[in-house]
Amino acid sequence: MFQFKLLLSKELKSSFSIKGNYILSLAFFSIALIILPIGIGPDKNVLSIISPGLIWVSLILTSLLSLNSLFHDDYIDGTLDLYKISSLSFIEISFIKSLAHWISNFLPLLFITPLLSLLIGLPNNLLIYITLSILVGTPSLSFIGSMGSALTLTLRQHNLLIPLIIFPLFIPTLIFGSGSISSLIFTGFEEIFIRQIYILLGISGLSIAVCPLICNFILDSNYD
Amino acid sequence: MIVRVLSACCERSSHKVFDNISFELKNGQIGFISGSNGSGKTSLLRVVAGLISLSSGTISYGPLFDLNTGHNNDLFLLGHNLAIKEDITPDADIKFWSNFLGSSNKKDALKRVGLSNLKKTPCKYLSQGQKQRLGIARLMVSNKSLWLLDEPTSSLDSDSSFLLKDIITEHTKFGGSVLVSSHSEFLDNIDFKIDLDNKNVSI
Repeated sequence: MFQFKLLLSKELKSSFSIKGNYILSLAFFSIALIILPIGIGPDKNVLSIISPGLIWVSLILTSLLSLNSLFHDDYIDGTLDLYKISSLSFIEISFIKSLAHWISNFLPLLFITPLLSLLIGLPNNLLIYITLSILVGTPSLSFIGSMGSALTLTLRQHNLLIPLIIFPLFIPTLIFGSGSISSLIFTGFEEIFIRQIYILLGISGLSIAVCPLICNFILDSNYD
Repeated sequence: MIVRVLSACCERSSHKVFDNISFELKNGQIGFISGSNGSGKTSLLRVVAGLISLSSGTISYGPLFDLNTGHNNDLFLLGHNLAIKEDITPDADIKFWSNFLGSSNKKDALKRVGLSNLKKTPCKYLSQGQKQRLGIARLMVSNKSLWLLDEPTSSLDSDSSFLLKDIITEHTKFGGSVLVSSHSEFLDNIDFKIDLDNKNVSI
């Protein structure tokens, strides 16, 4: 448990340093949500209907920026070898790394979503709901993404392959993430929203439970 | 006995790296691996570390190894890739690894390797030799009994090589063991030598 905390704080420290990923994610997410309404046009009715989709597609694109370096840097400089001979297993290592990825890349986005939602015409009363759906849904992006990062560990073209491998796996999160808010816009029934949030919770819980195990298997296969 | 390797054979992408190597490293001993480029020095060290599996032969570890978890976590590796991050300072690096490896034993390792005046400088400003010395300081705080050193003198000057020799000798005095591969014969107190070119172990 002590090692767990130590490694998590090391990962977070490097993510939140000046050269860390979190600035890139914040900037990319903001830019995506600033230029999308410019491209679509200023019609507020159109924008407010598609705003949940815009937010969720931007979230998924943002996640790809930082997933490249999840394991690759540690593999190149030999840190992964030292983790391998330490008493922590790759299950714990990949859990910690995915958790740190979520904290440093998705949590900051929650704080600028209210500001950016003004630009895309998201109805104000839905702000709390979109925040909830991001909070519940994005852990699955980090944990599923870690599998893509582990699979492309030794490849030179890894940043091209990761999207191809994991985009299909992101689709359920995308459907229920944006669908939960869209259903509120179209029907106004909170109950439908809550059901979809439960599904999102299920997807995130399943990926938190299963993806580190798969990552362990994939990372171990690099040492044969 | 710390580690025993019996008729080990290693293949990398269907190319035989080394064949029929046997040796036994006891507590307090230094094993020296020599051989030309590509003779499998790094592979042998990585096999002992458990990072590569053998294609045939066995490797067994002494009682200090944790048999319950299956981890051979009583060893530490200093390889070609030093696993030093650019932005971390030597001080923070030593602190992290000593805590991570579960030892509270810092005993001025940075001072010993002559990095005490650079301990607040980010590692990207260190030279290759200084990084190597940070790696040695890491070994000292690791509190592990088996050290696997892969070309530890490759970028060290002669003074640092002498220092490394002292540190290794001190480690063996306390019952630790060292398996070292190198081109330079900087150690004069080795217990046996594994010659990978001629495939023999001499004492």
